[in-house]
Amino acid sequence: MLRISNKIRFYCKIAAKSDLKSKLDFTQLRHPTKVPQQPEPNAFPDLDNNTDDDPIDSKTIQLLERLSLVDLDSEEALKTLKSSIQFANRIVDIPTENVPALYTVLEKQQLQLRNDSVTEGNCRQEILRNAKITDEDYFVSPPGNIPLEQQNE
Amino acid sequence: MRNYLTIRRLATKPILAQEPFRKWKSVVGLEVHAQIASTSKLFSGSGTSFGAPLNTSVAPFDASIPGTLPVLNRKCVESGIKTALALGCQVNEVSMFDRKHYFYADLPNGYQITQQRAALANNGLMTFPVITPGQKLYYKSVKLLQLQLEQDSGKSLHDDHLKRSLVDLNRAGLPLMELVFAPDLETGEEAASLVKELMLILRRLQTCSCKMEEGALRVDANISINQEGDPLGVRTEVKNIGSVRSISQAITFEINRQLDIVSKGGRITNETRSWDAEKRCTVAMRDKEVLQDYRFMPEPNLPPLHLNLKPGSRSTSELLSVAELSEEIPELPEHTRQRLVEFNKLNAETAIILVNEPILLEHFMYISKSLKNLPTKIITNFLINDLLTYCNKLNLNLDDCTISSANLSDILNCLHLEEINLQAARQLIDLLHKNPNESVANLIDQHKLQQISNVHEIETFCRQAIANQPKAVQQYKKGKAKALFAIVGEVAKISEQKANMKIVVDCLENLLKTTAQK
Repeated sequence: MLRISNKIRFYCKIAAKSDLKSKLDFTQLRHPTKVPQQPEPNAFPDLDNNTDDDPIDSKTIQLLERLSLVDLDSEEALKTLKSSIQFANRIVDIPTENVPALYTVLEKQQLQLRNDSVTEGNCRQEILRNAKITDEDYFVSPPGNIPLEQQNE
Repeated sequence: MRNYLTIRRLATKPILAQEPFRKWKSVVGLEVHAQIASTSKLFSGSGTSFGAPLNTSVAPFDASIPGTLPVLNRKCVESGIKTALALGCQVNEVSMFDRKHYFYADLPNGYQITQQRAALANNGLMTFPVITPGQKLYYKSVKLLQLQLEQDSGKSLHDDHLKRSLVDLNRAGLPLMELVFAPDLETGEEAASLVKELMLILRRLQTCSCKMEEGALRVDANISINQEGDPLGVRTEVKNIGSVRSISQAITFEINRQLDIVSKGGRITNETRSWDAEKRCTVAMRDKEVLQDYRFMPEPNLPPLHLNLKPGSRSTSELLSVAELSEEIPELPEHTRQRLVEFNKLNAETAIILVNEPILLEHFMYISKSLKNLPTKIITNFLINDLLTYCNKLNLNLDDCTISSANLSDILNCLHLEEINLQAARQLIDLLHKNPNESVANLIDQHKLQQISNVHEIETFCRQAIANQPKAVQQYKKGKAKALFAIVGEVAKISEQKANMKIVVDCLENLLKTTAQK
């Protein structure tokens, strides 16, 4: 959190310095930020001081590997995973009883509808250009899903 | 704690009475994917025509090119709402889109956009007639739990030899309605009848072509068996059912397979099976090892879909009115059947056959209007027993039979006026099918199909027939009334099927009486 607020302060400094007429560039904020400059006091346990190491069992790791297609074999990857879980877990402490879930800030907006007419397509060359291997206008892929190799099996 | 103890005590009581034999029940639930008839895809502007050249009906969005966003097709929402209303659903004022994740080459996004938390519509009810050969017609009602909009995936061709898959994305992003029915069915016939009725409704609404051979309508069946009074058994899912006939066959096979396993003391495992139409059996599909975790999440690129539910409201460019769409719903098949039974005095079975075959229904409506004096029974008998049988014999689809309603009406009129007989009428169906531009009157002249009603001519035929069939004559005179048919048949043969049979029968009876009196 400290790192994030540091970064915001950094952007604000740039915003203050930069020329307001320049093109839209998200690294250069043109308006004073609405993000609070000081973190709100909260009841979350402090991450940095949290040293208790919940071990993740190997079955869970294997499932996560399969779902995410990310290799969690190395010490480094495992550490990142653990800290991600710790970071996300803090949301559990927020009381949300009787609060309807907010899925999008656009909830009250009408969803844009499009008329039913063909306006795209017929661009096989462009579409296939992104593929590494093609054959007679098909994309070519490995057969089905190949599960990641499991080290403990 | 106390509860726990009482349960324990009950459980340790000796079983006093032998458990009575309880019948096995089968439970069937269907999931139907119907491709919405539209010219462009659900979220992109690429085309939807079946059989387009490989990877040509693909927009950058369908190929998941970064930076593309989904824009919902208005027509697809309208079709979904119409279908929902026709099936008695409650359309939801707000529905939402979700991402359902799975990693597969023909799903370039890595997820399918579907509706899970809040679907377009819920709580429908479908009532349909079930005709099982040798059983009385009955009506069945099945709850429609949910109707949701979602995308289709691309198509993969598996090349086992070179160990690779070939992917065509033309189907990726096509609009689908998924209809989830409650497990209220019991047999394969009921399931097939449900799908038949659904197809009739969707075709009337023009929201789906229902061409199962093109994959425009796909049916998955969930099947389980349990003993009366028990909770539902472990279910298997049968996929890959490619025709209406297969639905009934696949489900009947699967029920019997499960009953067989249970009777041998085995256990049914939760698995996905595939219907093999050639071998007529279900086979286990290679299953995913773990229960799939689809990791549903709200689709962040699509805000909720709002609909106007106010009665009398009109649609605007942004907000669709359910009331306005409900006015566009045509007469539904069940309504037509009731009208045929009440207004045209048809029996229920005949009404069902006519409604199942839209072409026959069209012919019937035309003929019953143009020949008001003709009893409807004669029209339906002719259409079902003669026209439909003719087409079935030739393995001809009714859609490909080009005989016009006006021509059929002319045939029936000639038949009614006794200008021709039934034999000639049947011959005319064949002649008209082969010469669609000829008129009925011309064909009758050309092929000399006029019925012979001249009493003298008929008498000559009858005398000849009596002479040819002395045995039958003798039997008839001894009181065997059925022997007359043999003589009548002989007359038909002699007259080349042209004699007026009513007059023939009268004439024969007279002749035989007079000879008997002599």
